[in-house]
Amino acid sequence: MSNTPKESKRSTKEKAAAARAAAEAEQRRRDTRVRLIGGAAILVVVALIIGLGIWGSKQNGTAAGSTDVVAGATVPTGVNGADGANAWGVPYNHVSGKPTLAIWEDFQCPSCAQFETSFGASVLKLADDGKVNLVWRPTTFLDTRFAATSPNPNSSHRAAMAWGCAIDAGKTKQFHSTVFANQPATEGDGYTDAQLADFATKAGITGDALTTWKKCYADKKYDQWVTNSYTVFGTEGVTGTPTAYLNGTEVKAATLQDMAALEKLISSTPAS
Amino acid sequence: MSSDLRAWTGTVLRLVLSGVLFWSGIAKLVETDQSRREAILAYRVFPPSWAEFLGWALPAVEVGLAALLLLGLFTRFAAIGTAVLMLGFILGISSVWIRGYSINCGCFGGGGDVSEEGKALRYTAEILRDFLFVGMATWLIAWPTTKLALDRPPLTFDDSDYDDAADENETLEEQSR
Repeated sequence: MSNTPKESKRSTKEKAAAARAAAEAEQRRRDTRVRLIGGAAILVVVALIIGLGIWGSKQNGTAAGSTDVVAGATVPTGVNGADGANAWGVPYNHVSGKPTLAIWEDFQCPSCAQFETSFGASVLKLADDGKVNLVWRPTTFLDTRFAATSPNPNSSHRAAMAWGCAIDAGKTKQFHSTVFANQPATEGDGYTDAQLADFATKAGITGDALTTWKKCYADKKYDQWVTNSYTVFGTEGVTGTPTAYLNGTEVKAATLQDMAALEKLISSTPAS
Repeated sequence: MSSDLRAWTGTVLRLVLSGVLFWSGIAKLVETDQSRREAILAYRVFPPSWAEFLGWALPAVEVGLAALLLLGLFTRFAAIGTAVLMLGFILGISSVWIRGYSINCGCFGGGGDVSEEGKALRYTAEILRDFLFVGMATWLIAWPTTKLALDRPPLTFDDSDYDDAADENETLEEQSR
């Protein structure tokens, strides 16, 4: 503080007040600094969590949609490729002038097995009667969920590959229903390779066809097809299974559990 | 209400909201990538390509707000952030309900599609709970000065030596010129 004559004339009381004010101002500056540092530190931590989190997820690369689709992947007979609606899907039938019902399923998903048991036959009948185009879309999202705990890891992926081989043998719907009918009681227990081979036999694949099936499965012929379909499951933002889309519009879960409502929705929907 | 009681009430609200936000944020952060993604996608509000970013950003922001509220730092700002977040959740849950989907809100992790069972009760409880949090945040927006906080209490104009203080400040400003 400058010591001008004016200053020296000030009373002791005034000087004390000024000193107190200066001390308070200094204290406030210090408090402000603490607050700004605290706030900035929290901001940095938030940014770090987001940045490192996203980076970590990208390194992990197990989430649906995080891998690249290989466009030229080998697909089973009659199965969709990369182009058009329902890429990598398994068409059950073709009728012109009717809407398309696409159903996402994971072979390890209990709700899918329940849906198959309760409504599988009715949905197939709608397709057989030429009322709807049915497309199955395989996904394997449960593999990540049970990666650490399953005695048979990657069961969804292996079951889908096995299905691909069965599609080549012309036993598409038979193998499909056999897997769901033999789903383990505990979700995540999955399927052994021997079980999947047994399903092929149960689906009616015998003789030379079974030999072909076994080679197809052992060679992992449809590995990339299954991965592609799972990737699209992610990029299309599907959250669970069974999830059905009629001409690309999601069918409400309640409608999917009510055959009369589903049939009504299908009959009132024009071809895509 | 005495200003002391009001400040202590604010402290309790701050700590409760902080606890809730810490819990919800950490629960989401420790989930698997797939679960975080499913929880966001289940709302069918954001495009799938946003799911990864939001899956990390939402819990990170929750933890950040929780830290601010715990320390009593920028309390009014943090309370506004909390209220906006909670209103967003209320909107999200209402919109999912109206559109007829049955999801777990994933508020404390574990989001995704679930069975229709007990849907109305579940959504009602979640919305009421979030409105309670909005109410608590609104209190803090109105009275952000609380006890045990790093925030500076606002100038108390009813202070008897207010005039003196103002004069002193002017003097200080003159001197610093």
